[in-house]
Formats: sequence, structure tokens, C-alpha cells
Amino acid sequence: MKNTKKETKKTKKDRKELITIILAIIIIILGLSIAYSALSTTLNIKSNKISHASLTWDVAFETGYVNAIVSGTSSTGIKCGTASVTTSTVSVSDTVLYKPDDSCSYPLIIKNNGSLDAILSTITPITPTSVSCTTNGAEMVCGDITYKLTTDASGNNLLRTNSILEKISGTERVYLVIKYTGLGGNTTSTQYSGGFTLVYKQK
Amino acid sequence: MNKQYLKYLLIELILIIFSFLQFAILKQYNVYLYILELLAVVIVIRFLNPFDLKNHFNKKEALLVVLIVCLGYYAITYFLGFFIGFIKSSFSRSLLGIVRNVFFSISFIVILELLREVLIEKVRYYKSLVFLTCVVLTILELLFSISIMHFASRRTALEILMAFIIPCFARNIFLTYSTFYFGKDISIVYHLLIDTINYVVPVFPNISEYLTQVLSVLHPLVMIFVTSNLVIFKRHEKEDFITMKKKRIAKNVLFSITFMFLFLVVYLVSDIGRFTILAVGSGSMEGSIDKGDVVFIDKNDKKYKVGDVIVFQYSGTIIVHRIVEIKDINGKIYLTKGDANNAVDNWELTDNNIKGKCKFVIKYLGIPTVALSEFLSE
Repeated sequence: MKNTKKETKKTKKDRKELITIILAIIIIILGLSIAYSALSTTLNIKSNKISHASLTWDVAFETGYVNAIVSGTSSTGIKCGTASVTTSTVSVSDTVLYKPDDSCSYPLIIKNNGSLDAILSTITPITPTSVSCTTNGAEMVCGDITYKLTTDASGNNLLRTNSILEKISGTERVYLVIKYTGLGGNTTSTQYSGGFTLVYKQK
Repeated sequence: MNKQYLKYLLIELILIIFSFLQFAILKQYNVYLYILELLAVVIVIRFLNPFDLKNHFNKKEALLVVLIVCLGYYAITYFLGFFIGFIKSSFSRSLLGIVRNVFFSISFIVILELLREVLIEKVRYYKSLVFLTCVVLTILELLFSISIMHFASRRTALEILMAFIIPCFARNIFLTYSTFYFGKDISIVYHLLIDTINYVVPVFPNISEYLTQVLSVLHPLVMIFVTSNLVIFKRHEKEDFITMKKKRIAKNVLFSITFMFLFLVVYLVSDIGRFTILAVGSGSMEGSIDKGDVVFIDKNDKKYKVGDVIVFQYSGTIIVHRIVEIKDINGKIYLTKGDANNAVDNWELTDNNIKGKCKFVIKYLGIPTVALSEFLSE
């Protein structure tokens, strides 16, 4: 009788533990799924966060869609497409510029929320498919249009590799500046699209 | 509550407050200083107030289970990498950088697990303090890698909760469970296998953020399930074999059903396969698809006709509308309209814009998602 009582108590304890574990798994996974669905604006987000190590890595653009600051004197409407920003790339499509000084400037933020200092390792241009380009780090010249990643809104100071982004809330403001740098104006609309990919490494 | 309980409750609260002060207020992120501080705490508790370590059971079997599950996990995820691709590790690739990261990882983990063992041995008979120990160790780990700035907005706070806090807590639940029943050795081995390898491997499987978070949470909880068999076996070792086997089978069946359900949820939400689901956040299709409903999408069904409800992306937004007209001008152009809208949408879609076709609707399932999304947007 004593043994049976003991066994029943143990069995109840096992059952309680098992139910607790299973309920915890279900609640956490469903919670993650609901939260992820609520956060997603695209159907699939790839990230470079490393969260399962004691040294966390989380260096990324603030993602989303960014509207341009437009400037220029073209009588026909300049068109500045919306910049698509993922964790490590920024790209713009549907940009139409006509005259020298027409430009679209996109303000961007790169944040280091991990526990390691980061250093900018490479800047890789994303070249438009419809035109040939010459590239040099954070500057890409495609025909009459120049793309730059700069640290100022006017597009004068290029972003350089080996710049350091400090751990835990280190922030860098950069601007993707798309400018008409040709000699004359376009008489027909031309659409250009391009961007840059940044790769950061542990310092 | 007796003196012993209050004493260790106070010790654990002081640990949290001190660490919070150091990181959140003073913003002192020196890793080696932190390790020395934790070591000092271990020495103070362990040697000034000595105790005999409990004789843990089934250590060898537990170690074998940990090794098999961890290595199996890496084998499966890296095998998946051959299909989904790999990304380069962002950790330092120089020999000195790797040695520095590994050295930190090993030091930090060993000290944390020593602290966990010391606290667990002291508070073993108080369930609430054992749970608090798990919470304290989670906070000690997290304070090192996240800051108050992460909680600047609701959105970033939720992202940090999902990416770092929940996986860290799940990991600490297993580590606490393992230390309680098997001792610190098993916890150290598991923690090192999960952590230190990251600083050595040159590439990671390119798994989405959602899947990474799910795996980070599932892995330690599966470890608890698997190692609990050893605990239960010891608890019932006097029972006959057949009764034990029946209980084990029942447990495994229940776990398998749970996992099949969760696998389905993760498969659909992660959007890795042919089918996916989407919560509808607006009322533009009221009448047929209401706000808060979930649509089931087939991405492979590319044959669209007038009247089909499709999912597409336009200006960064995912939209669910009905095809009202199809034009054939140098390829198919689709015009869409929300059932509750007065006019046809002012965009033209091509096959490239369309993500998939809606197959059926599940009513009200997306209400929590829509509510959370609106809360984050406020």
C-alpha cells in the first residue's frame, strides 16, 4: 500500500513535469510565430543576428522602406523610387533623373546591437542591369547617374571601409545619394536601379 | 520562509541589482572584469559557506544524450545548409581573434555554471528559488549583450525579446534542470557545445531569423524532454519493466503529436516551402476575407484567372486582393481590387509581383497577430 501511494505520487510528478514541458514548448513556439508574423512586412526575413552564443552579433541597417529627399530643378517630375532596406543591403529602383543636380538622397541608419565591436569590411555595389557601371568602393557611376554611400546628406563624404561601429547601440548614419552627374539633360525617361551591400566583421 | 530561504533570496536579488547597475547604469562592458566579479561571487558563496555536493545520478548517460543531441542538431542544420545556402561568420577569422573569442566563451561559461551549481545546491529544496536562480542566470547572461536602448521602441523591444531573451531563457531552463539533476559537468558540456563552436566555424546555415529563433528555443526544451527520461527511469527504477515501457511509449506518443503540430505551424509561418499562411490586417476584402482572418497560400499555383484571390507585394506592403481583369500586353498584366473597395487598384501587376494564390481562409486565427501588429505600430 505504501509503495503504491509512493508510485502514484511519482507518476503524478512525472505527468506534471511532462505537461509543463509540452505546454511551455507550445506556448513559446506559438508566441514566436505570432510575434514574427506581426513584425514581418516581407514574407521571409533573413538576418545576420547570432543570438545563440554568449557573444551576440547584431549589426544591421534599420530595415524597411525609406523615402527620398528630392532635390533638383527639372521641370518634368523627378522620380525617386522607394529604397528597399534589408539587414545588409540598400537598393532603389524606379529612379528617373533628367538634369545635373537632380538627386535623390535616402537617409539610413546602421546599428550595432550586439556585444562585439564591428568594423566595416566590404562595400559592394549592386549594379543596375540595364547599364554598364564603373565602381569604386562606396561610389558607382552608371552612365549619367552616380550612386554614393556617404556619411552626409549632400553626398560629399564617402563611407569608408574599416570604420568602426561600437557594440551595444553603436549607430552610424549614412545616406544613399543618387545624383545626375551627366553633361546634358535626358530627353527621354530613363529608369536606373542600384544600391550597395555592406559587410561588417568583428573588430 | 526560513532564514536560509531569505538569505539566498537576498543574494540572488543583490546579484541582479549589481549586474543591472554595472551594465545599464555605468555601461561597463569589460568582459574580463565581469568574469572576475562572477568568480568572486562563486568563491564567496562556495568556500565561505561549504557544502557537500549532491551525488548526481546517470551522469554518463546524460553526457551521452547531450553529445548525441547536440551533434545531431549541428549535423541536421549544416546538412540543410547545402539546400538553403550558407552565410559567412561575422566573428573574427584571425587566429588571435578566434582564440580570444573561444577563451572568453570558455571562461564565461565555466564561471556561470559554477555559479549556477553553487546556487542550485544551496536552494535545491526551495522550488521558487530554483526558478529564481534560472531567471538570475538568464539576466546575468543577457545584461552583457543587450542595453536599455534596445527597448527604445515597442518594435525593437519585441525583436530583442524574440532574438535574444527567449532563446537565452530557454537555454537557462535546460541548464538549471541539468545542473539540478546531473550536476554542472553536463551543463558545461552542453553550454560549450552550443556556444563555443560559433566562434570557430567559418560559415553558418543561412536559416531565416524566425527559424533560428525557433531552433534556439526548441533545442534546450527538447534536451529537457530527452534527459527527463533518465530522471524518470531513476525515479521508477523499482517498477517493473513493462510498466515503465508503457509510460515511456505514452510519453513519446504525446511528444510526437505535439511536435507534428508545431512542425506544421513552423513550416507554414516560416514560408520555406510551397505553402504558407498570412494574417489579413485590413478590411479591404470584408465580406469574403475579414480583418483577422488567415489565408492559406499556395506559391506554386501560377495559373491565375479572374476571380482568384492572390497575394502580392507592392511598395513594401503585402496585399491580398482579387483579380478583376487580365490583360495580355507583352506578357500578362493583372488588375486587382479589394472586394470592399469602390475602385480597381491603381497598379498593374506582373507574374513577378505575385507571391501566390489563396486556397482557403481560416476565420479569426490571425486576430492575435493583427492586434500585436497594431500595438507595435502605435
